[in-house]
Amino acid sequence: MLRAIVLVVLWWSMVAWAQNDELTIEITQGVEGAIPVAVVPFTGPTGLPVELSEVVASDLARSGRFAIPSPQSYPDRPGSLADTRYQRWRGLRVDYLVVGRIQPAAEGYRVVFQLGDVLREDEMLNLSFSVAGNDLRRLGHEIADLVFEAITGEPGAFNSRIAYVSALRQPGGGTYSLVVADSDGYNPRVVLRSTQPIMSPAWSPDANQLAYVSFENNRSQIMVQNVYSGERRVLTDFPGINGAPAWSPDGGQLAFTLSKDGNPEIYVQSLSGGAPRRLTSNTAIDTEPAWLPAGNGLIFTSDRGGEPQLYTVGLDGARPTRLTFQGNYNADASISPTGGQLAMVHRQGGRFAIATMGLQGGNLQVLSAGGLDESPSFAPNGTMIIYATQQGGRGVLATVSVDGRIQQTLVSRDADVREPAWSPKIR
Amino acid sequence: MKPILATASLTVLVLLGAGCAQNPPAAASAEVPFGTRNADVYTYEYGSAPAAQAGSGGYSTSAGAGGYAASDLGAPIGAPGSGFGALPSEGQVIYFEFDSAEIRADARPLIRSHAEAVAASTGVMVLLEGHADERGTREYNIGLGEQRGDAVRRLMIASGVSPEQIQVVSYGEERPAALGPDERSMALNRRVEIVY
Repeated sequence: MLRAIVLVVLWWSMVAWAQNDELTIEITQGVEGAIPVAVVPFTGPTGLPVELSEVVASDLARSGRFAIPSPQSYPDRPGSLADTRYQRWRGLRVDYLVVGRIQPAAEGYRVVFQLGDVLREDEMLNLSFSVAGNDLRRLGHEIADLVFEAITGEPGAFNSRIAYVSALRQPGGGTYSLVVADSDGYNPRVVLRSTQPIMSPAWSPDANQLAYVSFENNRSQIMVQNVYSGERRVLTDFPGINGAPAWSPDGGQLAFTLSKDGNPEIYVQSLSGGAPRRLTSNTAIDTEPAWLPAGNGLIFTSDRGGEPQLYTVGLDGARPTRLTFQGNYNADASISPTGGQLAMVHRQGGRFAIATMGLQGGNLQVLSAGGLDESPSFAPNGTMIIYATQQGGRGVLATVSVDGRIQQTLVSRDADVREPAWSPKIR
Repeated sequence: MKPILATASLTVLVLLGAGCAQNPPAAASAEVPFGTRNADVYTYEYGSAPAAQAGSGGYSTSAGAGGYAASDLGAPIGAPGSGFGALPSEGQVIYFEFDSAEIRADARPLIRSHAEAVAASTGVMVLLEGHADERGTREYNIGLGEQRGDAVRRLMIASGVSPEQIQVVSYGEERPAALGPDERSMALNRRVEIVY
């Protein structure tokens, strides 16, 4: 099960957890056919707060695209490609090699890293950074993104964040927290804490703001909050349901669910003001809107046919068309930012699992084991999906590569965690 | 292929790093400052500078390290919670079948007796809290909880209660009365609580 990524597991287990909201990662499924890459421990001072090469290795392994042999098997520990004797690495059967060195600098460190093609004996990347000590993790994610892109030709998604809801069960009342963490679960920050439920966080396309549902006033309201300044405002406060916010791809509009006209319907509202515009009209539950990448329509959940299924509606509000026909429960669509694909909650045999499907329809591909899996959200490069599941009666988060080959679980020590939303890449 | 890749990646970094302005990347080995002294606090020197709204040249760090700031991280906001796993009093709750908002025949007498009491006193307000079990997606269950609350509301109005005296709020599966994964717990969570 663990195979070549043992080093990643070892490293995760050594980390001390400073906060209750911290998530720990468990790799639950290995990978075959991945590109072998050696990530050599960077040379330099010991005892750094972050082992940079292990952040890089962990990210690359988590994507499912790469297999990282354990450093114990490495023939050598070069700090630069100039010191690398490529032929010694061919025996390890790695295609690429990441090396680097860290030097103390006036305000932190100077980090140089290189990516080498082992077969061609060729330098592919050679970059140097000055970085503060408490920013080493983020640099690790950025290096992983650079390596990912140089080898696959697609952008990486590691330098991004996840938002999720954490619920702590306590006698006499629970506490609900809205948390923002790095894409690997590190550096969790609570951005809102409430005695009443918090739901459905959604990132703005610039990754600066979250829209979410709060019951802090004993009814549902849609809030918009800047995660950096903390500044927030009430976006909708109508009688009945205010739910399921989703930002348009250009960031100019929000789609959401309101029941002010009698039952749950899909609405769209410009963020610069104006009244919400209704797109659906049906006595069924219409909810969970997700924007099409072109921004000209939405996919949403409706039980108008007697059971929840996904439907598409244009912004003109013309009659929606049904999208899913496999199974009797398909809901909560998340659309790949790189196009062509959507993820959903799909019930089969009484179990709720995460499945993907082409945007134009076609066959469902079930990606998760199922149970109470829900809330799928794509990574900004479309290669992974994060979702909520349960483990031992507790809510945990999990990631799965879109080919279903590699899965990981992110577990909170104390709280139920759910409703993950993967941010656009941080710029 | 090699220099193109490196240059393209550098462009991304320059957009990302703080204080890059004085270090235009010319070659793949150019020095690129990364970040600043505060973790995750970046200023936008390039591009459309969306962060400028957050304050003077960067993000607020009032919440401490990490750069994120919360609206209120003292005591949690909101009224004191009614608790996880708190079962309501027997005479105040109506139960439902799975994925159904239909009122069971055996629940009608209880709803009618509440309705008569509310109808008899004009100043009284009643709150109907709709809930669902944990199966199904969360926002869909918000819809289901509201349909349950609306079903009770309609029966109360039919029994003489003025619509102005009734409010419905759906919590979906967010405030379970019973915490177990078993069928009995889920049955206890598919409910409408009648709150005065």
